[in-house]
Amino acid sequence: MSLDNSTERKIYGASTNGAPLPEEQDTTTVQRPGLMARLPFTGRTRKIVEWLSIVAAVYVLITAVSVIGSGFGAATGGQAQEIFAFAHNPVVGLVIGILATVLTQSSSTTTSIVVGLVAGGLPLETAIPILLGANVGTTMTSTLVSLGAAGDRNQFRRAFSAASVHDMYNLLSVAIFFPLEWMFGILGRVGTWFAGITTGADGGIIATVFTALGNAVSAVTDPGADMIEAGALGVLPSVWAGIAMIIIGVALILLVINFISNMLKVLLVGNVEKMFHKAIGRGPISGIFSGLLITVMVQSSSTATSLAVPLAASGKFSLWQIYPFTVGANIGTTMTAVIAAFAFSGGEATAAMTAAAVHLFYNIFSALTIFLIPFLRPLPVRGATWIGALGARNKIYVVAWLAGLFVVLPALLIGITALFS
Amino acid sequence: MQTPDNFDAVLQSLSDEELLDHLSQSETPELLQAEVRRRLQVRADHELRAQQHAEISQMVEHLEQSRVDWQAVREFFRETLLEFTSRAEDPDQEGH
Repeated sequence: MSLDNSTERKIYGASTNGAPLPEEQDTTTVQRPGLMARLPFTGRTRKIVEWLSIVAAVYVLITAVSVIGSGFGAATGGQAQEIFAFAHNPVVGLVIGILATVLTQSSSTTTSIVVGLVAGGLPLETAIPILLGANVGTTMTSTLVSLGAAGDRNQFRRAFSAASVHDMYNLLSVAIFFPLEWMFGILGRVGTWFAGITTGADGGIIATVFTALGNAVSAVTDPGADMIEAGALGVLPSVWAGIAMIIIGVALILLVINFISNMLKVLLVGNVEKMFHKAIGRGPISGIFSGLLITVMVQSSSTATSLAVPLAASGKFSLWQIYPFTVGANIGTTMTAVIAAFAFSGGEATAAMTAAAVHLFYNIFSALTIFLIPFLRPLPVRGATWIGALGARNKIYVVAWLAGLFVVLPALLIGITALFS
Repeated sequence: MQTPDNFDAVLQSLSDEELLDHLSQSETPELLQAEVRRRLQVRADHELRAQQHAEISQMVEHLEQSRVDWQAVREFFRETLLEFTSRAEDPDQEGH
C-alpha cells in the first residue's frame, strides 16, 4: 500500500499531552470500502483507480435517481397526486423525511430520492416537508457517534453537546421555516425561480450552461437508466416494474452514496485536515465555509458533523466553534441533490432542480436567519449545553432525547394532525 | 511625558522579568497588572491554538471515530437500561 501523504497517513505528534507518538503505535489509516481495499494497485495507479471509481459511482448515483424518476412515473401512472394524498399533509411529509433519513443515516440519500420522485411526478408541495425532515433525521448519526464517548463523563458531555447542537439548530430551523412554508410557500417559490434560471425557462446564459451540462450528463446516464427500465418492464407489468425500479434506484443510491463518502474520506483526508487548520481561530464565517467545503468534499453532512464530535470531546474545541461548522455542513450536503438533478432533461429537469433548490435555499435561509437574528443565534448552543449536561448526569436523558426526537415527536405530530384533520 | 498609548507600547516591549520588577516598585500597578493579564491571555490563546492544531493533526483517527460504533451504541443502551431498572428497584442508589 502506498504511503501517500493525503491517503494513508501516519499520525505524529498528536497525543493529548503534545508528545509525539511512537511510530509503531501510530499506523491508523482511513479504511477503504471492502472491494477497494483489496485492489492490487499501489501509489499513483491506485489513486487514479480510486478517483475513477468515484466518477463511476457518481454516474451510478445519477442513473439511479433517473431510474427512480422513471419508476415513480410508471408506478403511479401519472396519478402521483392522488396516490400520495396521504402525504399531502405537510406534517406527514416532515415525519416521512425524518424517519427515512434516520433509517438511511444519510440526508443526501433522502434528498436524492426525493429529487427523483419529484421528477417522476411527486408534487413539490408534498416533497418540501420531506426535504425539511431530512435535515432533522440526519442529526441522529452524530448523536449515535457521541455515545462512543460514554465511558468518560466529561468527554461524553462535550461529545453529546456537540452532536446536540446540530439537533437543536435543525429543530429551530424547522420550527421557523416549516410553518412559513405551510402558510406562504416561500421555499417552493424560490426553488421554482432558481429552477427557471438554471434549467432553461428564462433562456439566459445560466440556463444555457446548466441545460447543456444537464443534457450532456443525461445523454451519458440515460442508456444505463433505459437498460434498467427495459429490463424491469420486460418481465413485470407497468406498476410492478415501476415499484421494482424505485427499489433498485433506492438500493443503488444507498450503496453509492456510502461508497462515495468513504472513498472521498480516504482520498481527501489531507485536504480536510488542511481546511481545518486554516479555519482555526478565524471566526464563525470561516467555520461555516469550512463545514460547507468539507461536507462537499466528503459528500456527507453526517460524516462532517460526526467529525465534530471527537473534536469537541477532546475539550480543545468549544461548542461555539463547532456550531458554525455544523451549519456549513447543512448547506454543503445540499450539493448531492443538485448533482442528482442533472439526471433529467426538459420538464423533468426543471422539477428535479426545483426540489434540489428548495433544499439548498432552505439551508441558506436557515443559516442567515438564525445567525443574523441575535436572539436566535445562541439558542442551539444553549439547548445543546443544557441537554449535554443532563445526558452526562444521567444517561437515561440521552435515551429519552433520542426516543423523544425520533419516535415520540413524529408520532405526536402525526397523532395531532390526524386528530384535527 | 508618556501618553497612555506609548506607555502601553513601552510595557509590551518589556520582558517578563522587567515587568515583574516594575510591578513590585510601581505605585500605580493597575496598568502593569493589565499587561500581565494580557500576556497570560495571549499565551493561553496560543497554547489552545497549538492544542487545536495537534488535535486536527489526528484527522485520520477522528475520521475513524466519526463512524457509528454499533457495538458501543448497543452497550450504551444496555448499560443505561440496566442502570435505570436498578435505580427503579433501589431509589436511594447514588450516581451515574
